[in-house]
Amino acid sequence: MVNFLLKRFAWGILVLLLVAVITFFLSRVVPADPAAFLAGQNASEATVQKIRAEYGLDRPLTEQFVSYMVGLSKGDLGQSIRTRRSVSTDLAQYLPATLELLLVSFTIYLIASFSLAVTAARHPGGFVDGAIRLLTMVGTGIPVFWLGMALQFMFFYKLHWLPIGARFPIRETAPPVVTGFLIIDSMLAGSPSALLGTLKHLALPALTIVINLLAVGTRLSRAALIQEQSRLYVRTARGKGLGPRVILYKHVLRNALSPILTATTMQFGYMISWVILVEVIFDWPGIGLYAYQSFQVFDYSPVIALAIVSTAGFVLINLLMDILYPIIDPRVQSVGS
Amino acid sequence: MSAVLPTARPRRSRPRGVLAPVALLVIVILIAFALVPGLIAPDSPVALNMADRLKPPSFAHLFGTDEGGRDIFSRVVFGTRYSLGVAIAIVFASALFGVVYGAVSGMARGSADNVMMRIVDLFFGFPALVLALAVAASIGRGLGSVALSLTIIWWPGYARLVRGEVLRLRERPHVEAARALGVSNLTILRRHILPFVAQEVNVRVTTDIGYALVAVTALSFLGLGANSPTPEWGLLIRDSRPYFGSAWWYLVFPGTMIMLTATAFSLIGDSLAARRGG
Repeated sequence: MVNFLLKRFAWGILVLLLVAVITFFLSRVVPADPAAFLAGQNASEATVQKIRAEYGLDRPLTEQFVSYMVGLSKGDLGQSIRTRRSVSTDLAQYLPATLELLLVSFTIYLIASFSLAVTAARHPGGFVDGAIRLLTMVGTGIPVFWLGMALQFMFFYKLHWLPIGARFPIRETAPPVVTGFLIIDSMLAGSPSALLGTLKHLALPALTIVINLLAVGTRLSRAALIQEQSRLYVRTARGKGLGPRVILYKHVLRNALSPILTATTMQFGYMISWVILVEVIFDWPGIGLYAYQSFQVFDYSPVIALAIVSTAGFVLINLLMDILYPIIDPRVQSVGS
Repeated sequence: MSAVLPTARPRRSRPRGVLAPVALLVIVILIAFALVPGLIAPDSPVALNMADRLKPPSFAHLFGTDEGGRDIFSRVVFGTRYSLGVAIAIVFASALFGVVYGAVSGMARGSADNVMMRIVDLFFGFPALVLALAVAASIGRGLGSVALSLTIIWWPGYARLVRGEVLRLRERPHVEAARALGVSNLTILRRHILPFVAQEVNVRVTTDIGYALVAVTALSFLGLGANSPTPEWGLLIRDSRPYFGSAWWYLVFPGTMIMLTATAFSLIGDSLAARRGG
């Protein structure tokens, strides 16, 4: 088991290295010149040269790469030309916003998806089951950015219930930064109004993500449950006279858990991609928006950093799942060792 | 063949009788949009007409007009070629490459297969949108770079699917018989394995076109794809952002088109799967 995990860990490091290499080279073969952009339109050639030297853009590509990789091994993600700060400092500032959004959405999604799938499996062909099919069919085709804008239109322009974007009301003072998670920070500050403001701003972006995840995820969970219910052991249990509830919760659910878990892991992967779109639409000051805005002005370090951070996140989740599988489903153990 | 083999896969949700024909009709209309947009669209997709700026839907302008007074219906019709065309190109290119790669990997088996599948795993760990950003940064923005970056992240799915099928099929009696008769590996693959794989791939391709369309429009929305005034659907939605508080039609119609198209393809994919597996 330990051996297996070590292998998976080494594999994760390899994936990360590859991502770093690919994104680095891709982003440096660009025709546009970030130094010229930074210097402004009327800058002299000397100024552009100076900036180029300052950011090491005048050195040969291989040399830039070596120094980048050395820096990376020390946790240095380079300098952002746009914000004129180190990317690690920027990430430390923006990452909590992204994490807060992801965690809240994912928790809501897990609860909703689980209850929907269980209800659907208890009454196949029933109302909830039909609703899930409809949601899945239409939902997978809804572009996440369009859904976000449609929700903004509805809840901001028409109903005036919720703010259109950002993380916190502009006119209020944010609670002092302790964790960077505004929900926790406003609770620590003991300010109900700050908490309410935070939740209001969180509602629409989180809802956008949850709806999109539900469209795909619930179908998979439902299929896993229904497939499991057609197994022979279920028939045996029914024959023994066990009630449908006991069969579902004690037998079927435990067996269906690992395919559901696999699907959920994949979902988290998609979500990392979507978060850029959602952050752009809702002006959410996380790492997705940060990388996107940097990308617009040909500042690549943040884009590479986002690639590395999000891949690292994905690798970490996969590793966590590898540890969880044998605990949830003891049958998996034999595969691992 | 499914009559002989016990199947252990979940029952696929079968589309109700009416839905598949409707989906087919939608696709036929879309193909017409893509092939002869000039015959269907009442107006030019690019010519400006400031007098009719941001008009709501009417008989003259079914989907209303945009900030340049252009007819949104015409723009959507002309945009089919870009949005759907690129989506189809991505899926076909990915399927072609993935089928060849997966077939070679499955036939080779052993350590070569192992290495090839590890490479596929690597691609699965890659954050799709970020890769697209990097590709667009390096070869410039445009539908070409969108197609390239999405193909890079799309093919591994096909490689994995085909390799699995090849491994399964090569143990079947008819393949063993062919091998015993001394038929070469290439011929076995071409005549006795790939025709069966093709059914699975067809289903996947049909469903994937819808997903690829959503991905293409997402990248265009971020400004990585087509440039204005190309009437690409994702770009239309991007352009609608400053006005969507006052001009709902500008946001609603292009988005509905994406949704309709994606749903139609996934319905047809489902019914293909049901016909084959059910």
